[in-house]
Amino acid sequence: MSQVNDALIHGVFDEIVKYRPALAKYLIADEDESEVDIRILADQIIKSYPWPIGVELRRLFSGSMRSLDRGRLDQLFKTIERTMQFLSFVMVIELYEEVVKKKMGIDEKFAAQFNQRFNLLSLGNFTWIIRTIGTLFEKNDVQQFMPEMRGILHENFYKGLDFWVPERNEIGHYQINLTQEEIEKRCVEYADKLTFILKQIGFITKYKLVTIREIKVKKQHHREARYLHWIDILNSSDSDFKSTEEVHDSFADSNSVLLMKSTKEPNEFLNMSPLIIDTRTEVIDSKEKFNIKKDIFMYTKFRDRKLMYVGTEVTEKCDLTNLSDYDLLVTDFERLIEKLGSLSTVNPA
Amino acid sequence: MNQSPFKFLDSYTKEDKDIFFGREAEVEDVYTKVFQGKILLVYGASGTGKSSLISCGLANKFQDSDWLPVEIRRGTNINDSVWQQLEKVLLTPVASSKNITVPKLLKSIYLDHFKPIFLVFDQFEELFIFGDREEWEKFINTVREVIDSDLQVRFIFIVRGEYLEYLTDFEQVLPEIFGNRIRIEKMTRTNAIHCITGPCRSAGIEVEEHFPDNLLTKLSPNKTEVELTYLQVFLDRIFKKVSEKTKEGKIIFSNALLEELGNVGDVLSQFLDEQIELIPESEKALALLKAFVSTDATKKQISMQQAAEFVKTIGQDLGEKQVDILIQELVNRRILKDKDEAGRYELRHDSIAAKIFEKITTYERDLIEVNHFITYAFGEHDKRNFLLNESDLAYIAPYETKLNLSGPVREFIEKSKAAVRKKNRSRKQFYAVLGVISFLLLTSIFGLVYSQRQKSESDKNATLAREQSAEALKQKELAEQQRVLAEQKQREADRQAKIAQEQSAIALTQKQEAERQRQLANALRVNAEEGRKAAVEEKEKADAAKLEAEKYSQLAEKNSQLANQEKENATRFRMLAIAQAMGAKASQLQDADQKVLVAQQAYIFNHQYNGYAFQPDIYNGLYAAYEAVNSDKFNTTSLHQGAVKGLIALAPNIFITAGADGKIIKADLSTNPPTVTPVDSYPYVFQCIALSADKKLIAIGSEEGKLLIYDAMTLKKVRELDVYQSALWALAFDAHKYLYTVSNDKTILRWDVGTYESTPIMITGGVVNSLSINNKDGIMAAGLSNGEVLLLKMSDNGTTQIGKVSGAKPVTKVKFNTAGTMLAIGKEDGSIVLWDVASSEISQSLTGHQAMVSDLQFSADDLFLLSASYDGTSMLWNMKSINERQVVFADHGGWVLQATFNPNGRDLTTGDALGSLRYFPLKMEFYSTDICNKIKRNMTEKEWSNFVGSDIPYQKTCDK
Repeated sequence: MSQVNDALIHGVFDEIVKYRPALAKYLIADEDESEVDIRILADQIIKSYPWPIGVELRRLFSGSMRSLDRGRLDQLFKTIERTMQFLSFVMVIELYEEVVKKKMGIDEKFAAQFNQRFNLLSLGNFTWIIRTIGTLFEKNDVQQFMPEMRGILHENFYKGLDFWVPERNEIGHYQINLTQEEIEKRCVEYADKLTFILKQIGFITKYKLVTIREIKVKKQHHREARYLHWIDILNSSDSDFKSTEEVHDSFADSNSVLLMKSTKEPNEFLNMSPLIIDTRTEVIDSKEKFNIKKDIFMYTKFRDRKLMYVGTEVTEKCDLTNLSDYDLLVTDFERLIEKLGSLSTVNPA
Repeated sequence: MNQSPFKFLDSYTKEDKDIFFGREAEVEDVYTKVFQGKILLVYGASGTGKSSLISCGLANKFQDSDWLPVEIRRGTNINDSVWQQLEKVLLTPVASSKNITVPKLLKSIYLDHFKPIFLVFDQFEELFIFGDREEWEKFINTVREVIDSDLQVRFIFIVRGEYLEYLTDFEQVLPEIFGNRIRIEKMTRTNAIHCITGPCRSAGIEVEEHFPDNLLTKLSPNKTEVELTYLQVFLDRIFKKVSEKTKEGKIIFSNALLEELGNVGDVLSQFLDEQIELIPESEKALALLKAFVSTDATKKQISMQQAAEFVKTIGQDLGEKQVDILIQELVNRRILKDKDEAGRYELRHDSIAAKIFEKITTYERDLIEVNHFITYAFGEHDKRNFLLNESDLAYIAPYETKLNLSGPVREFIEKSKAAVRKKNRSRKQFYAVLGVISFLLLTSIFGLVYSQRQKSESDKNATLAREQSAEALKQKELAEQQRVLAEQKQREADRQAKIAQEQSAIALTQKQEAERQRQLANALRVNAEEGRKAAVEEKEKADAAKLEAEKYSQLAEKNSQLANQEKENATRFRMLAIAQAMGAKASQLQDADQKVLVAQQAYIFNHQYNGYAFQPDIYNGLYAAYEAVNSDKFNTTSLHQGAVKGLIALAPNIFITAGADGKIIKADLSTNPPTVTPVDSYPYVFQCIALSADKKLIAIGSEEGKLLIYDAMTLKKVRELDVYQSALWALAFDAHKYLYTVSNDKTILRWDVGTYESTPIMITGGVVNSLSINNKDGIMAAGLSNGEVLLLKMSDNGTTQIGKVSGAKPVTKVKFNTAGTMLAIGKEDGSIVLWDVASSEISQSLTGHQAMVSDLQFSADDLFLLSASYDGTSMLWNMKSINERQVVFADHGGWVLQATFNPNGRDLTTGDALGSLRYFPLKMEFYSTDICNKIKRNMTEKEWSNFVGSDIPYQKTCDK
């Protein structure tokens, strides 16, 4: 493997091993090897971050992205964009939970801005969401789902995010023509900046992104009901996610993508739907559904009561309006907007 | 010279993105499906562009970082090829160890590249054509191992449709093998136009208006689908012709050019013949090309040395140098691909292989088969020291002088012959031993008789001795009396005493002699007894040996009978195989006379050797022959402007159809052409039709929810009802007075055909798609969209659910057989399930259709099941031989929506999406009696030799 990713891999792995000590074993070389296989470390990084970030890291580490060229530069942008998108979705869902469950107040200015920005997502809007909601949580002394977030949501981190916005707008969108020398320089610089962000959010590797495929009730005579959860773990280098079954006394949300503290604790989760959805559970039982790609999708746009998503493994646009619970997703989204902003401005039609 | 934008017979690769057109929808489908499982099965007919679809279409859907394809062909062994291809993409060397497995290798490859790995197995049928069970078992276990491991690896198997059944053997280890699949159809005319205009646009070639359409009409007249290989060859020909004329300046594909090309026949055969003709030693080149064709008429990869060996098997010894020169010539002429990394050559396309296969004579085929047989036997000899037996040697004997065998193989045959001779000698020796034993037995019997006689003699002597002894005693008593008398008479007594003493001494001597005689007689008797015992023992041994000999003799007789039986069977199987191959060949031949003669002779052989009466290849051959000697559309009548949505047989040859064009039509097939009588016309889109059990009423349903009732005798409408807001989907009469209708909901309406009042029957589960009624037992089957079939007992009071057939795929059609003992269930995925009513169990699953089953019908005698499907075929299943291959009627213009049997017992009839009624004779005999009358000759001896085989005695095929 080329050395172009070595600094990022070592830097990030050293950070995440603090949160997942079990990974330390990979820092010891095998008996028959003289040094640690950095490929294994890279693989563990991919598997440790939630799938939407992990899959972009996999692409960044791939054989096609090891030259300091425009392709690598674009992939660096894509990786940071997906990372910020994921973080901003976590913040939005947390805020939604606070507003719904704990009746936290939202001021009109936020609501108006939120409507505008959440209508069509971009890198700039992700940084705005993370910064603004982070400040709101701090102001209201909110105990976040991932308590470690409080530790990073400060100016240094925000600056690290802000750095990317003009770069993305000018270079990512090809507004400025770069020479090969400038491209090479930026590849190194961006990898460094990306390493900073990934290290900052290293704690996220403690948590599990999962899909709850189904929950079944198990009730036996004269005994309390128990709940069988069929769970796909979305921390993986492969979209063929591993499945596991857990039986609990209580139950999580079904048919949803959840960020969980542990699959052993069904009550501790953030339900990422409808911002992150998993179409792999959809049964393709009619002709209209033939075009539905099976993937983890992330929300990008809401217009004319239509939700639009971008795939994580599938890189093409995909019409998801034929999903069997699509109407439910739209309703959920509208409810979210209703609580955090004003639906009329998001959906003027 | 300009660069051609056409690929000729090569597959498209990722780099050909800009000239790859016409498969956009299929590429989307494949891209969707590739994420739906670890295995994707891509199948279809040869020449449909399956490989290009993956290596160009799918490859370009992925960005580089998401696509690491490893293309694998079987080569000499698929397991070795997997290793070789994987090692090529491996960057970090794996420590050499015996424990390295394919999953470990793949893991290392993934870590090297960090890309999802796609193992693309192209021409996967090669595993079944050339591989053995051991090879594929090892392979499939490896696939299982990889799938079960935590690896970013997906499998894409590209296989010709006709080999799909072989994959069923994989199902035990890989149950998911058929779970994610896509069938690649032949290209439609519309898409084929893109195949012409797209690459032209990319290459700056100007295309005149109507040129693509005219080209396709010329290439495939009256066809809605296009053979891509033919199109590519034709385009290549056109491009070359124009390029030669246009040295500089813009290339234009003009209609005038098409006119200039004249009639286009079989462009592929033309290309092949032209190219071979241009080679100085064309006959040798053709012989060599046969080496690159498998016995299944597909291409095969072989080295130059293997090719040289092959030509020897068909009686030509070209020598490696000449073979090398000819191979290069064939490569330059674009018939062969240049050698791969393993030094193997192959034909450019399977379609060329099929053309060359047609040129292999039956005798050559026999030589090849015999050679394969010997090679296999030689391999077995190497492994297990098996030798050829007497019948094997008899099989190869006629060809032995023509076979160019290597030294070790010759040695092997000679060794086998020696072993057979030795065995024959041993048999002779056995009979010799048997003779000796028989001699000994006779000798023993003689000994026994002799000893008996001796014993009798000694007995006589003993008696004499006993008599003499008695006499001696008597003499002694007399002497005693004389001694008493001598005492009385002194002197007389002394003299008499002396005499008595003398007499006594004599008597004693005599007594001693008698004793000796007795002892001698005794000894003789003992000896005689022992001799008798020995003789008995010998006799027993001889009897046992005789029994053994008889046993061997019976065994030998039985073996001889078995050998004869096997020989007869072998002849029968060979003749049936020849018949089957001839049937297939008849479908491909161009000449109508030859088509008829080959198809008819195939039929005769099949009949003569008691073959399967519905053998599909022979049936299709006869059908093709029938088609060739009859006028165009000889079995087609166009009835409707839209699809035929309802079809019932009113009487022999009389059919009523209801179409999507709103018309009801009566068709009488007894006349030629059929008499078509419009019955009525409505502004409706008809959806279904049913005939009452007493054949007095016809019910027709429409998409607008209308229900029309007609008098079946007068064909006058008796009632029109507005039943549903949405479509009236299906209907069925029972034997009494009720008509049942369904729409897109979970209710069945029961109509009293006297009052036309309805009663709803509520259904749980899914929407009812189809109804069928078993009038014998009063049971109705309702096929549901959720995959279930409900069985409802009907009575005047309503219905009661009495059973349920579970299933996953939506049910599209249900049909009871006439006896009510069997229910056929058609599914959305093209499968058909046969449900045994008595045992309430699935008795059979029938696979064959590739798309939704649209209709099912049993023949009146329940001997046949007829199915129709959206895959454009109808199929005839023989219920008595359900495991035999079904006859496929593929000659339809589009979706086949309706199918039924003609009550004349001779034909079956289908209705398709283009509005046509098609009719096909049910049995081969119907074709056979007709086609010979349409031609005026028999096969020539040369044709017989080509199509049948020179070793099979010539016979007249038709009575001319």
